[in-house]
Amino acid sequence: MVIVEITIHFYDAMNDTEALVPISTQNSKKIAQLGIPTRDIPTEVQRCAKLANILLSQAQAEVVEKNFRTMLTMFETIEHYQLSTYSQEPQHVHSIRNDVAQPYSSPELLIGNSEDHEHNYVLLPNLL
Amino acid sequence: MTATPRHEHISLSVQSYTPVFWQDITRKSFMDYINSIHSLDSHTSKAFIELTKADTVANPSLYHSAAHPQNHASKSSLSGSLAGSLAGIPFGIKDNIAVHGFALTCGSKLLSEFRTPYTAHAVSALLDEGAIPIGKTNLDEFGMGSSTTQSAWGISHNPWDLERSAGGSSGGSAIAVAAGYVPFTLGSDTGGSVRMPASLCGVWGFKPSYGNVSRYGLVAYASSFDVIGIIANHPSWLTKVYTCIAIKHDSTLQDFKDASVLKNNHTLSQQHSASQTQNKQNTTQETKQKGTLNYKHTHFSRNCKIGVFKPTSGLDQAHVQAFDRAKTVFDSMNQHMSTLKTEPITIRAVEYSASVYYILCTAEASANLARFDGIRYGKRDAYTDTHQELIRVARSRGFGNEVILRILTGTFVLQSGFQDQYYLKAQELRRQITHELNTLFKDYDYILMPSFPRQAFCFDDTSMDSASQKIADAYSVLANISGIPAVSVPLGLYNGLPVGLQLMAPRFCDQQLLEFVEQLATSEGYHQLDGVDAISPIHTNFLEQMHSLDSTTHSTHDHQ
Repeated sequence: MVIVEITIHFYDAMNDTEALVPISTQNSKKIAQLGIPTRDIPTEVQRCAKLANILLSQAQAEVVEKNFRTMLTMFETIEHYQLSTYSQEPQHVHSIRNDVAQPYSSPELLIGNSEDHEHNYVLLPNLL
Repeated sequence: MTATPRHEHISLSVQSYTPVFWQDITRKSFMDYINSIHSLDSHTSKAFIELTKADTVANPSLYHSAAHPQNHASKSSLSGSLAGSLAGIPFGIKDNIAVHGFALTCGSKLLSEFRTPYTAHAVSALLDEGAIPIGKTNLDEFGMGSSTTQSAWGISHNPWDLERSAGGSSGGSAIAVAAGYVPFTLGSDTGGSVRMPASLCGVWGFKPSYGNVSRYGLVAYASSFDVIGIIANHPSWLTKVYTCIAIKHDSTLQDFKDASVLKNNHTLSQQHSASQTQNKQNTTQETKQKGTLNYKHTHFSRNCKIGVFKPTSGLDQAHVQAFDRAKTVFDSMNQHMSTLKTEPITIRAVEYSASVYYILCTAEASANLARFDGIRYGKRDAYTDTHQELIRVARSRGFGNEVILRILTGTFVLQSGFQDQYYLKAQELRRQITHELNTLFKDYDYILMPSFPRQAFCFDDTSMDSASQKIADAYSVLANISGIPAVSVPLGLYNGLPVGLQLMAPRFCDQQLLEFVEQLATSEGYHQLDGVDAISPIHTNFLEQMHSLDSTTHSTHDHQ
């Protein structure tokens, strides 16, 4: 029973960004105050800098904006990836999704299953 | 007691770093060795940020007492610390790994005054075996970069050509080995940071499976990718060191202080082996003796199949030829193995692996680096009226541009308006990449591909700017995305510069991979490759310096 409970925790962590990266919760609250994200690079850089508690000088902002634009260009390769392509996912992902409704039914949910060990990719406690 | 000539010990061969060297030397001669490194390194490659001080190095037991105060009585003498399998072997540590008594700056101004109060699990394990940490090596700030140019403490240079990059982010660790200062170093591999500089410096770099080595004491950059790795001048060092730092099955999770280590990894690797084709029989057996690793059978007598992923574009001429060299080596190994087959394969994942990696790692970095605020961690060097202003000033002055870029990118992809577009898609693609590689490993024992598509590049090479370096990470990040082990294999010189490829294995098959590369390194074909046994110009200088020191010592003895 304990193992199953932990597994559910992993499921939540993998599918809930807020749980995976706690700081985003704080960010979301701040975003609500700052407005809706845009694709205006200088505006986005300043918005993110404010969220991340960083002050950018004019010179820094120019360098960061240039590289930030390049990063977003690189990310375009996955922007065309459709969330509807679930059919391409590994079979065990389907199983996990389906088993969420019946969380105690699948042996695949046990930690240590050979196909399931990537569930350990959760953000871990700060170690420094 | 007759001093053993130092140059006989600090040379290319693995056997040269023996405990005898350190047992016979005096404190003065040890410091001569450290000073030789300092005088050469500080004017050439700049591998080390900090070298050890006489008081601590001359008595390695101090490290033991710091790391294991409860064992102080049993390891309170120098001779006691020289009893392990790595007794007296000097090594360097990347400056984002904690070693009590040393600085822990992560190459950042923000942590310039921080000295760590504890020792990382991996380092403690090496200290237990008698290894001696001699210094902290340079890195890109917080491990963010591929050239070791993003450090607050200056640029590190490739020992083969000082005008070229050593790669990164564990550039200092790779240089320290390629320059012959130490036989092995520890680095961290978040997206290829061990394998890439190892490839550019002509040494061996090993990234273990995620979960096989405790990350306790490694400053977090992207927690689901970070792994402590090893750089060495021979694969036998990789095996020795990995055996020390890897998690032990008879230990408790509390021993590792890292929730991500997996106790059942041995079972998982066995499951993989069992799922391989039935006609494959692995007769390799390992025998562990206390303090030493003794392989009874290092010869493979089974069928081995290697999938070769040779990209059709983006490789420089050296790496195109490297695949031919690898084939030569495999053909040579075939004489000792019943069958070693290679087959070309394609990997779709490289089209988007770099994007997936940079979305996820920047997202995690934006959270992990929140603690560097001038209050919990980091220097505060300005008076401010409010604590918010204090944090902003400390972070803005402390972080370099590359770190700021990644924090802002991570913050951006996590914003609620963009989560579906970037972060969640990247998480799903991470699963697909892992699935694609796992599927390939049902048919192949190992996968061969570039760790980096270029040889060491010049600092002013505009074709290898920051963005190009990120795109070129597409091959190395695959192992981090899927958590599998990988080794960067040096394949000699091309136009006077090192060239290499990487071998990847299924997750938790680390030992098998290391055995295979040891076999590869001892094959006849490997030693016939152009420049595979050459040493870097800095290494040559270092040997000459040690020779001259040795002559001076003998001359002094003669006078006496």
